[in-house]
Amino acid sequence: MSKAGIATILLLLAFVTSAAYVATHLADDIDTNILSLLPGDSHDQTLSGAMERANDEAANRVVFAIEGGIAADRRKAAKRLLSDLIASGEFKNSADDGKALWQWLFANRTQMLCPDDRVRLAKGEGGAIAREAMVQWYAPMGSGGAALLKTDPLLLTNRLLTCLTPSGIRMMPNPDAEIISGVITAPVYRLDVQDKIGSVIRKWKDDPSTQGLKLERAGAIFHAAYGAAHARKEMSIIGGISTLAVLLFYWTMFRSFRAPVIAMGMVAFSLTTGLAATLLLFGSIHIIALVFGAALIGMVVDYTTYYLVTGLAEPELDYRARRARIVKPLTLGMLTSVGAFAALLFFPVSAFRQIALLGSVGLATAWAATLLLTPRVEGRAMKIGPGASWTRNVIGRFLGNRPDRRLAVGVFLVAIAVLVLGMWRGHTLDDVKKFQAPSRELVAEEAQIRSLTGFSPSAAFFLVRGDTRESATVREEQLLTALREKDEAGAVLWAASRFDPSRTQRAADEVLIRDGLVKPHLREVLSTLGGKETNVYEGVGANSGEQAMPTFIRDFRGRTGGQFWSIVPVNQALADVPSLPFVQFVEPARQYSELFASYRKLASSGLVLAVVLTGLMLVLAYRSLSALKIVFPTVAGLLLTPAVTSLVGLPFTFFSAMGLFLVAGAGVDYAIFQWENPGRAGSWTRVGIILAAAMTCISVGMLGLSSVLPVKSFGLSVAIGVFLTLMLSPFVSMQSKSPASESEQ
Amino acid sequence: MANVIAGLRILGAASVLFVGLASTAIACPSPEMMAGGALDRSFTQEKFISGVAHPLHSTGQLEAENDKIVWHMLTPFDVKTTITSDGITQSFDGGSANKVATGSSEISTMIARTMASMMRGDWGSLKSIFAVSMPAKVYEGDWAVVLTPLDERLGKLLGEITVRGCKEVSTVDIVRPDGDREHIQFEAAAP
Repeated sequence: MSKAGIATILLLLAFVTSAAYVATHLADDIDTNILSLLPGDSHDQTLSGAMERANDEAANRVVFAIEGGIAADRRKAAKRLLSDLIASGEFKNSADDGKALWQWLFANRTQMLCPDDRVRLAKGEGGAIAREAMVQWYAPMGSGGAALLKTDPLLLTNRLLTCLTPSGIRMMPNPDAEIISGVITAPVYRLDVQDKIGSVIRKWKDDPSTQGLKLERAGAIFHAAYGAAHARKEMSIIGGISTLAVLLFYWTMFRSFRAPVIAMGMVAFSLTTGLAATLLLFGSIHIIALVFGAALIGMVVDYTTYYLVTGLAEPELDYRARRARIVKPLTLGMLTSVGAFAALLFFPVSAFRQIALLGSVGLATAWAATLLLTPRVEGRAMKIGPGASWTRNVIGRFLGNRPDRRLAVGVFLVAIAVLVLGMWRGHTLDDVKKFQAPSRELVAEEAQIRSLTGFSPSAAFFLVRGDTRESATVREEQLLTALREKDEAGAVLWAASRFDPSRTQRAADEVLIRDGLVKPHLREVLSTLGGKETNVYEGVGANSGEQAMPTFIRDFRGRTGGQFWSIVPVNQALADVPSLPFVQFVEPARQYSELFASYRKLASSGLVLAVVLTGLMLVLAYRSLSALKIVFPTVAGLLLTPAVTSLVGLPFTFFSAMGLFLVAGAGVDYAIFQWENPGRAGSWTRVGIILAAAMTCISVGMLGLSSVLPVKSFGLSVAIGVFLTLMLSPFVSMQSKSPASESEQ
Repeated sequence: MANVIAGLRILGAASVLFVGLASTAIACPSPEMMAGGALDRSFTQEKFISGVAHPLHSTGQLEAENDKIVWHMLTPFDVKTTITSDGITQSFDGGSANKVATGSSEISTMIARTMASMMRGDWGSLKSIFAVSMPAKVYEGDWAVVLTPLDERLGKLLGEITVRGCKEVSTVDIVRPDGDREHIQFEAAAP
């Protein structure tokens, strides 16, 4: 068997294996977390870890509110929903947290104090605290009972629970709504988890007993599900239109459905292998990478197109000769495009690295399949379709014209005007909050839940670091003290040190409780209440270690490398942030926006590097400095695209810059083919590049309809950039001295 | 003859008793017909804790007007708890009023509002938190309404509440799952 035959079999084997791998892994391994698009801060691993933890803590929480109807119906409906959520295996009721929290506080009640009580006991106001406990005992429907009289007559646990629980969190049932809160125990950005919770909600809504009731939801999982549904819809629209465009264009070009079938086969081949490689290497694929994958359809069919068009141009040649016609420009084009995709690997954004791999592997396999498989499945020569004739005679002729000096000056002046206008009107956007418009329905539901529960979560937090767990805890306590002094302590939602103080603080609190409260006042309280256990608090502290800390408190702490850290979430903007050397106030949205700004600048500089590298490759390939002209349309396209997008009101983002990398790759392809085949001899080649560019513009340009700004700016940048580089590609042949042009002239 | 006379006496006594019962039944309107509005009732509370020989005894005054509720315990401690839409404050021994911590205030507010609704006969608002046994049972002439918390956690905290009265609420009994109980007796409202 020939080498080509062996390679063909290997390619087919790779396809079958890839298809099997994708079929078994794709459904479970799609990441829909919009935060996965955010650049990981590789400079500060502790900060990255803390931000990730803070995000997980916030993302996994869900709250449901059931309103309307009568209380008994709401109650029944809530029980049904809770039972179904628990049965799904992905939900943990917050009531379990409450129980664990009570048990923890009860076990530690002689070693922990409310901040106010600490001050009062230090002032010798133990009698007043004991009296407050007695008032609780006498209050109607008070919480004191026989069990607490024997174990905690001073109601220390109750005091801790009420003072340490964040203000605004309702502890009592709401008279107007049933509230269910809890944690999703699986990653909320996984589609199967979203589908499972979604089906529980649908089942609940469809139940006849819930008619007339209204269900409100709050939680990142619902936003993720909304985003995923949008992405799925966009993906199917983009994929569908691209497919139709491919079928239509190919038929008009070749008057045969064999051509589109071959093209779609190449698309399936390259996407499958690209997906398999991405899933294998990353373990999962981001939904946005999948959307960009749909855009790849338009790019991978380019190679098949270039080959098939050679059949129209020179039908008398056999497949080897036709392949030889395109192997050099196709290989060079593939390498420059893969290089442009590979540049995305340098950005610390997992989703972009996935796009880089998906794109690179997809294009490389499309190249290999075009050269090895397409000639074998092409069959008899295809006929020139009406589209091909028209493209050749109208657009092809326009692109085949060698621009004269007057046209060059005109284009130059227009370009300058567009650049100036674009710079005048254009602006950049790095604010992550403006990247994706959330569902209005979900926002309204969340607002209602906020008004019902009084709880307003926030992504902002303090990051406290220490060399040991103890030092980090001591520093967190210092932060809380500083906040109290600034009257900002109310902003703190949770702080692990409040529930698990440092050893020093524990020892001090134990002494205060023992000497300031228990010793002088317990006997009096017991004699009033009729209790007998005077040694009720003895030895409690020694056994406190046996009780496990509630998971949700433990999760506020972490360790990265040798550094211990804790996060202290706050629920409002702080007017006066304490300035402590070991404490950092983190607002993730701002942090990510700043990173996006820096990566946008970096990506823009990276484009310069990509152009320089492409130029070098071309000089090396053609061994002539004049080959640098090939990069001219690309450079002009890269400069003009942001200006044009700004004129249509689209800001320049990090994602626009990412799109320009693809423009660099695709634009150079067109220029290479123009350079290789100038003048009349290249008329059929131009049909190929027009078809290829049209495919890319349609498929990627459709992303411009996306509601997600990153996708929109990426899509429009690529579409506009590709169009511009194609239109400017004739300038490659301006005084071209390529061997082909010289021989033709 | 003596037997006849004795029989007539018994009949007479029974008639009197019957007439008395009938008049009581007629005198007690439905608990849903209680007049709402402002409240000013003094109370005596006894709290019975399992294993403790003597109940905890307290007295005080419950006042309510519109959204403002004042629960004023006078003995054994002088504690005045005031609940308004702005929050909850507490003052000891006639001293200045201090804001109560969120957790405590939420519980106290719920309890005070429940108590005020019971006293006003506002059973409709209680139905959002309790299963209200309506129509009320008649017990020794008075009606009795039983409130059972809908929320399980609240059920463990409060237990079952029985409100008794005639023209107005006279007693509230709370029986908890652990066997502890409370009995609150309200003095008749001033005419």
